[in-house]
Amino acid sequence: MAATSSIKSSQQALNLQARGEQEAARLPALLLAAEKIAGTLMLGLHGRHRAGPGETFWQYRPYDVSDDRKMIDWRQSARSPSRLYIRQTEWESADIVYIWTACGNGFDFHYNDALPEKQQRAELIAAALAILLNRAGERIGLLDEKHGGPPLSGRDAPQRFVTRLIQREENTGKSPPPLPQTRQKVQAVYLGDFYQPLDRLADWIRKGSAQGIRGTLMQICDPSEEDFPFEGRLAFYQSPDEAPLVFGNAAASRERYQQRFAAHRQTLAEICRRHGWRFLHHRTSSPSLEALLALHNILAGER
Amino acid sequence: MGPLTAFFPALSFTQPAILLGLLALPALYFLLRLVPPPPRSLRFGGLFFLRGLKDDSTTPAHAPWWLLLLRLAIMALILIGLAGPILNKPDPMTGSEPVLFVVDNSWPAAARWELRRDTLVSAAEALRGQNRLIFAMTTAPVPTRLEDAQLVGPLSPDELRKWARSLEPTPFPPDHKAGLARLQRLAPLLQGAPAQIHWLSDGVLVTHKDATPESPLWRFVNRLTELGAVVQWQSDDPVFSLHPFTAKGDSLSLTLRSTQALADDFSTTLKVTAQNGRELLSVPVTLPAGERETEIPISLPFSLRNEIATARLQANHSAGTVQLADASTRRVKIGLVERSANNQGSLLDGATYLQQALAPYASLLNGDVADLIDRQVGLIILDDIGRMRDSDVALLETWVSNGGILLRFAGPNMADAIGDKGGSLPLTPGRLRFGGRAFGGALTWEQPQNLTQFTKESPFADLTVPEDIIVRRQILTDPLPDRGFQSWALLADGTPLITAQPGGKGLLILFHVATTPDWSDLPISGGFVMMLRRILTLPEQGLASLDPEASFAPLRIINGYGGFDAPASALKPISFANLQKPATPETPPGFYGNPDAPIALNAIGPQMTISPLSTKAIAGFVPQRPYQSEPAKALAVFFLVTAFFLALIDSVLALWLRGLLPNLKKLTPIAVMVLAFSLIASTPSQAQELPPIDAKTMAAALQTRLAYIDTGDSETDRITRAGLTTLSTYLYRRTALEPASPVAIDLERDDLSVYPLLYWVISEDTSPPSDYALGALEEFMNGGGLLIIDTRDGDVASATRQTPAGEAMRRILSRINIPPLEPLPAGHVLGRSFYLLDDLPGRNEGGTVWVKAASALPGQNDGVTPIIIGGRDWAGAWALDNNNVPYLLMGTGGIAKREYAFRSGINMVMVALTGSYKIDQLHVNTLLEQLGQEGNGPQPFAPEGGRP
Repeated sequence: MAATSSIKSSQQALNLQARGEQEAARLPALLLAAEKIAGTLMLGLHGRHRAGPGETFWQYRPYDVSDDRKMIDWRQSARSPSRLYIRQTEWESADIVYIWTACGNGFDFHYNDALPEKQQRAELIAAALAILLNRAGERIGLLDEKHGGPPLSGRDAPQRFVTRLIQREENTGKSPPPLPQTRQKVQAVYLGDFYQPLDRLADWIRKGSAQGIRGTLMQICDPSEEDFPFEGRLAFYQSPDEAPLVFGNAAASRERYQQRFAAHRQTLAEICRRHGWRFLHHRTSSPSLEALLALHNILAGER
Repeated sequence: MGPLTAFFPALSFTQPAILLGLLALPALYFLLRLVPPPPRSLRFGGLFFLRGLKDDSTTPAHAPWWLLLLRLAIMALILIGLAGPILNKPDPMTGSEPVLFVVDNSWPAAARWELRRDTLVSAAEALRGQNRLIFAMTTAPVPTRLEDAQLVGPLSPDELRKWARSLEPTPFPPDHKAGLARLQRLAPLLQGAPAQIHWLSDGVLVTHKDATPESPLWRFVNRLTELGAVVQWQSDDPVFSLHPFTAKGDSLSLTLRSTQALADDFSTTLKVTAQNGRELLSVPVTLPAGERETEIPISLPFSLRNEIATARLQANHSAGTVQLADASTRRVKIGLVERSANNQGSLLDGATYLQQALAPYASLLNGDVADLIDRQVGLIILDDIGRMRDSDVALLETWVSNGGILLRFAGPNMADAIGDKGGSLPLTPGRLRFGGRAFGGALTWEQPQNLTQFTKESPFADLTVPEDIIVRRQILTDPLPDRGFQSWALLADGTPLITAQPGGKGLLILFHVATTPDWSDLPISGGFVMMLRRILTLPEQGLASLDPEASFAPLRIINGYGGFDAPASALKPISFANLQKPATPETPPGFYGNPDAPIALNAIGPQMTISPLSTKAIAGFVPQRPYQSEPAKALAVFFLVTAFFLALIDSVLALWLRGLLPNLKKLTPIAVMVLAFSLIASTPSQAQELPPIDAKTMAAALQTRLAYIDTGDSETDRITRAGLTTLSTYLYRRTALEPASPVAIDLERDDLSVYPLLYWVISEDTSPPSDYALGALEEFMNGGGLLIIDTRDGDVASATRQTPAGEAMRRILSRINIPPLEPLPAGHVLGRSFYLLDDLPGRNEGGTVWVKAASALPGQNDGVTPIIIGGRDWAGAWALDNNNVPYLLMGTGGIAKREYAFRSGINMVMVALTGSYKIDQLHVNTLLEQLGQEGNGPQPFAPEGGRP
């Protein structure tokens, strides 16, 4: 018994090591690709240039009745006769941006071999985004139950982020993605397809929004998922161990499929809008830079 | 299983229970309908949206009906295959009584002999394990020595099988008399127990003209039924028979008969072969539907027609579909000695009757005696010729003693002549009496006499005596003892009508009546034709056939299948008369006698009719059964293999339904390309239409070589060839040219354009070439070739007298368009091209060497002469054999002169190959001078400069 369990564990260890090596092999490629994309997007929108929580002086501003009296800087106010000033510091507390990408369970799908899997595209965007945010001085964190860990910053942050990213495990279950467990108001970027029941997603977004998380959802879709270009008698399956769905004439269901797809996306976008979250969508047939730019603009707009 | 066997009576099953599984097929049908073919499966990310969608597909979820049908067919085939279907399962042969197999092994059974054999073999299989008495017998007549072997038993099933395998058909018609005798022998063996009798009948009744065959058959059938329960096996196939040759006029024909009218046309071929097996003719034969008889004309030239030995139908091989031919079929050349008659062609002329009677069977030639003997006729007829020139008599006597047959007819002239000579007329059998006699006249009291008898020694012995011949007048023979002649036909009072006398190897035959009907009715009776036909066979068959004692040994015997066998050693030679009777076991059909002129005895004689056994009459009390046309055959493999292939088709269809086969639409462009390519490829391109280059031209084009024109005189050609070969060797040694061995050119055929130099020896008997050949020569010269014409007469030619060879050359050249010529000028390029020579010496130095005139040079061929004409015999000078020994002497001058001959040869070849360059070189000084005068400055060399 002991012998078998030890063999089993050693086998697991071996598997793990093999997987690790495989992923390690992916790492430089992903990093390189992400660097390449991020490099084209050196926008340099750094510095908040506005008042906010921070240590650096920013400006004195005349007191307003709406301001808290505690905020009055008496030393400055004393210099001028009838004026009360408020000292404002430059908002320089670094944002934490959490990134979550879906993994497995239908997300690792591409219909056309010429296009990347949705998951590959999501990882690329996540890595590139991490590089961009790191350059902008933000702290980046991976939203993952196991390999999430604390937010990263510093020069090696992107690499460590990507390492965590490719180590993460299948996470696209029935439940919505996790929310960052923090009191801080953080940014969270969710890259996935969100092919999930809307009520659950709505609950999740509401919950996150109530936590003060500013979420951004990017729905990454394969073109075939949007267009449903199939014809004839087909058995669709997501993973081989699931019972397939048989369609006698797939083309006949195309229109209704597209309607359902569009309705889902529209509703999801509406829910996000209502809770102040942002909703983006991306087709794997479009260049990844497009998605990255959109994400970056949104995040930069936040700052 | 019941209804199935009703549909296929020949089909049975070893495991019929499995067929019940077929009942489950409808259930299988519904099962298959419920299980649709698996759809093409596809991984899809957007499954989330599909989950709630209702599938209101228009594609049926069931398998399409044709696929269902296919699968049901597969299942049914497998079930039937497993049930062990057997086609033509043998009769189970149940019972315990003795079994008797009666086999008709006559020739009508031969065509489908395997049916009998298979029936017997499967019966033997069925009888295996049953403890029953088995007897077997045949019905065909056999030689007495073999009679015992025709009834065998009791046998074991194995022995029966062996017996069946060893049984062969005989070439005789069924003889129920013999069968009856065997049944009588069998009866005691059965000891009164009723037997189960299987009569494997041949289904035909062969009747001879005057036989009454019905009664033996009926007695035979009766006897069979007395012995037990009879089953008559009978084939539905018709029996074909080929009936003897009939000659009508010049045409020869055979008759093909069938025992049944056929539903479809029956087509085959008839092969006619000579005695040595050489095929003479192959005639397509068609027996039209509904007909029972067709005539097959044999159209062959006279000479080939007499070579006919066998005519064999290429279908239904049996002794009955072969006809052998012998002399009686052939056309004999007969000479009729001409008589100056002024009533030729009229009914008063005896020749008219002879021609009428003989024309269908012989070629009749007219002429005088010497002429006819020259033309090698087999029989000469003297019709009422009395007096003959002594020379003719001598000729005829020699001819007869050498084997000729002389047929004479009496008549007024002969009667006259007998009077003259006092009875000893030459070339008659015996001594003739003067005056003859006449019956029924006003002053005679005797009645006209009938022909009553053919004697035994006559060739007519087997003919029936025609009763309608009345003789009114005849010539009588001197009734002396030891007459030395034979009487062949006698009248009622014993006086001979026809007499014959052997003379040397030949025979003299005399008809004692005239060929005109005024002496007797003979010329207008059918008997006359029959007798003449018999006489016609004599030249071919030889006189031996006349000898009643003579016997003919069998040469080749026909077996039941119609093939030839060597005769059994037990067969004895038989007499001619027996050869005219139908074949019997002692006289089997075949060829007899002398191999050069064999006598044929056919399985089917002239008087034979073949009719189907009146089966309905017999069927009254004998049940009939058709032969199993096929041996038992297990079909399981066939069914299972078919099912396997259908299953393969099914799997391909299933793949196609699931969309796993390559899309046909995608293949369309490829198919179009392949089609277009194949169309292009199949379009013959222009280049392929050019005639192919023959090997000789190809070789000459690939390697430079000298050539000479084949004069047809082998000695001349040999010298020329040796000369050019040696010259080629010298060229190889001394110059940069490395020619291959020279070739002979046929002006009529060969392509000249590939040769630089042609050497042509013209002698007085050179036949002038055709216009085409001369045209080819002109083209050769215009195309830059050098033609060397050598008349080899330089030593004898003079300006005043033409040699014969020179004349011949002039005749030939007068037809060719050649440029103007001049004698070889001093300093000509021919003397400068390699060696410096003043002349072109060969074996002689005489005569003039002509080249194209310098005045005509500009223009064509860059000024190089296309022709050299001389009589110097250069080739003769060059000709050395392999050991460098000259073929011909050089005359005065010897080795040095030969060396000059080689030098002139080398110069000629150089001119032929590099003429224009050599000319330019020759004139280079002049060229430079001209260039200098034009003020262009001194140029060392001006290759493209003008020529002088």
